[in-house]
Amino acid sequence: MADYSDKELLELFRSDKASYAFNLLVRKYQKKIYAHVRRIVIDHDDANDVVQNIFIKVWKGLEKFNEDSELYTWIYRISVNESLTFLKKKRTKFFIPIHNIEKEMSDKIDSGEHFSGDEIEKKLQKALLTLPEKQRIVFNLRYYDEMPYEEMSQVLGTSVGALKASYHIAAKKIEENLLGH
Amino acid sequence: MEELKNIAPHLSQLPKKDAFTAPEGYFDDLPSIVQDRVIAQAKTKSRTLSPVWVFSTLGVASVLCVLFFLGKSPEVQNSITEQEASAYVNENLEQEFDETLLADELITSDNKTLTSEENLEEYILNQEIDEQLLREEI
Repeated sequence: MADYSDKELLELFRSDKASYAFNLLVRKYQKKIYAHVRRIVIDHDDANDVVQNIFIKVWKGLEKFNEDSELYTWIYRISVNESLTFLKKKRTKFFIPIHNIEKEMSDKIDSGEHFSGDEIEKKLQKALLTLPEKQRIVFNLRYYDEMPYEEMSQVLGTSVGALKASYHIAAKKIEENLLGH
Repeated sequence: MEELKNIAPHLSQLPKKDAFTAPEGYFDDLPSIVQDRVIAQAKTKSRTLSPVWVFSTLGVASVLCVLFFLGKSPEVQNSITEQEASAYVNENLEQEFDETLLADELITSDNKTLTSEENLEEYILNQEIDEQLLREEI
């Protein structure tokens, strides 16, 4: 499969090969988006549902995508919104208080289902679950995806300064948690 | 990352890896699963009727039904009345009508030109009736 740039994919989508272009787009981003969503919702089945919904929204929005932002930051923005909406719905649906959702996700990590990490990695993931959702997302985008702050700002609609502060606080909390303070 | 070394030195030394894994073949199947869902949604959307269209159609259908039954019902009632009347007359043909009842009926009927006394008198006078014959009859 040829490695198409985002611009080429958009041109292909706007020609008479929309389905083909979309298929290539899904193949290009699926692993990154899955990993990003999975770190937020933890469970594979939940992540699968959210990822599918994200790509369906991408398909629906592609026609009106006006290239004011980069395609991949736009896809990440949809991913963040969908993941947060999913968690919100899950809480509303089952009337689960926030700490119980985190407990459920923590138990999922302990179960080791579709999880290849060692004990330190488990500890890190469980420490991440103690962070507020948005702070956790900031940490994930910066730490795992190594996304520049400017792009994070486009994805999250938050100023670069606020994002730096948020990452700083999150990293400090994780450090303390790992050291057992 | 340099910035992490200053904020969280312990964390910065941990090997960074993605511990979350997907089932085998998941990423081979996902594009076609998504594509199928997109096609299915497009089909459903094309089959789904917009509320405006549904209500407009129902409205037009209701008006047509009302018009149909309004136009139809008097004919039905008339034909039934005629049939009933016909059956009644057939049943009662051999019976003798009470003349007084018949006269009353004529007087109270809408045909005033024939039933009012003045009109009857005028009618009799206008007819060239043979008085001799009339006396004989009486």
